[in-house]
Amino acid sequence: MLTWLDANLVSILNGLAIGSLLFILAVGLSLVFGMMDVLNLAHGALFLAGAYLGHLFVGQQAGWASFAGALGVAAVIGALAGGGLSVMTEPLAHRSHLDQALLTLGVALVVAELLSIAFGNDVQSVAAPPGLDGSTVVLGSTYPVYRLVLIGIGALLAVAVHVVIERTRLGLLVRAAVADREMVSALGVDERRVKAAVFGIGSALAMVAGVLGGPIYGARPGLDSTVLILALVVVVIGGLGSVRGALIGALVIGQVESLGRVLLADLASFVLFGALALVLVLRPQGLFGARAQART
Amino acid sequence: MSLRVRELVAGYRRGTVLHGVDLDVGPGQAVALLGRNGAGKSTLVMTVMGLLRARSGSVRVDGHELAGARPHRMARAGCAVVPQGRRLWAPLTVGEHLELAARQGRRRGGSWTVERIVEALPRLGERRRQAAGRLSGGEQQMLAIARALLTNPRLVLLDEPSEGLAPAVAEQVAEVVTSMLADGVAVLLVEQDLYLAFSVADQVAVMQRGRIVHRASTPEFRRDPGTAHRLLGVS
Ligand SMILES: Nc1ncnc2c1ncn2[C@@H]1O[C@H](COP(=O)(O)OP(=O)(O)OP(=O)(O)O)[C@@H](O)[C@H]1O
Ligand SMILES: [Mg+2]
Repeated sequence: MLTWLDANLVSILNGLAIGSLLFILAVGLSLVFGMMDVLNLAHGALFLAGAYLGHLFVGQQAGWASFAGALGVAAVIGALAGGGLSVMTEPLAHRSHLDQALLTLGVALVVAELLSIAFGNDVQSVAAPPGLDGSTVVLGSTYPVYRLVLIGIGALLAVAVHVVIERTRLGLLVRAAVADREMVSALGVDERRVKAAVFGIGSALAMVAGVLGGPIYGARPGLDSTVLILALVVVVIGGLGSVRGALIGALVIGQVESLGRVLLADLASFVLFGALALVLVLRPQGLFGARAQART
Repeated sequence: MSLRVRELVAGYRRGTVLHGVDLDVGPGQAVALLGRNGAGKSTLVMTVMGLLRARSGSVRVDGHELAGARPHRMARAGCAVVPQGRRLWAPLTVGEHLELAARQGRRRGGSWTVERIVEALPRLGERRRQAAGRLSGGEQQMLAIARALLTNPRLVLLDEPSEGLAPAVAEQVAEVVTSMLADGVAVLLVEQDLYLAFSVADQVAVMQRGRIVHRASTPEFRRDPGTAHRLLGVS
């Protein structure tokens, strides 16, 4: 057992780092879909925009100021973009999921195309802040410091989101809206505002995740759809509208993507969707589906 | 508060359900809305509350035209709904339901507070930490009514509050509705249980295929069992 752990420690840590990033990305996607029935396919494009933003600010020689600046600007732009998407999908609120998803897909394609025009097709790297760019020894294996920090940030954000959702007034509103948003509006709450707020926070987190992921994945065309698919799988596995589900789903998919690929190297490309299919067969509503039933 | 509905047309993608509904609920009045299954009673309730889009017609609250207004505006105008099937937020606790509703009620001001609700419905106080989805049917109905009352409404739309409840529990629901009326709140009560409806309402309106086909005072309606039988298929 110990030798197994030793041999796979790096993969497990990598899985945790991927899981951290996926949680930050997926929690917004899950809440917006669980609450407002809007599947935001532009979520991956926001992540990529965040990654390029990190590249612009930080580039090759990173400083703490530029990295923090990138995070701050990503949060602001992300929140504004989320508010914009919320307004854009409003006229389609009484149409099918597909109509709204197609609109956000259109936005995603436009954004991705603009980014590739602006930054080209090469991989743009983003350096980790000074002091975090080296390696350290964890239980006998060398491991990049930045990834450990990312695991810590993911854990902190998970706690923060949990506290907001479970303990604050906004969180109560969000949980009620996930369960039945019409009944929230019938109390006198303008649901468009709640939607814009959650959309904004979710999109800000997606762009922040892009900046944070920069030092690991860099920024390149196609990254948007890769992370979008991973985030969608997390949401489906975790269950719509559930923060806990997004966390567990992200941790599972992180390990599937890292450890799973190492242990089942021959099946690497099937592991992700195998895990998805398994959950869908056993628990179609996801592990922690927060919605009692589908709305008509 | 008064509600005045005229020529209201609404429905679902599959087709029109309300074909021009006219209905009045005066200040402090209780009107029972009767009708067979599928007549369109719930559709009317949801359309008045703005949860379903009116295609045409007029919904006036105290003279203000609100047809097509979104639900939060109806709520702010003083309407509240206790929908069919209750539609509680199943994973949320009783206390959270009360808190969320009271937060909206405080803005508007009025006499209903969480303390008063818990005094009137002590069972809810005992179950404060329990998830709404785990309550009994009667407790769920009380919570749905409490949620509506805490917004301090002047008009409550109640859709089949006794559905699925034991007679003794339905009796309690009737008592709560009566105390609401004593408070001066107007009520539109959709009900299949005629005795409950008669015990609460001053006026009866009967709906058939998306139209109001009969109106009478409750005593008048009770003296005329032939009409009740013809319109509702009961004696
Ligand atoms: N969500 C919906 N989508 C499509 N059609 C619906 C929907 N809800 C109700 N209907 C249809 O509209 C018509 C009226 O239904 P409604 O629920 O208003 O009747 P009701 O008078 O409330 O009946 P009940 O006494 O059974 O509650 C019915 O034919 C019903 O099938
Ligand atoms: Mg009904």
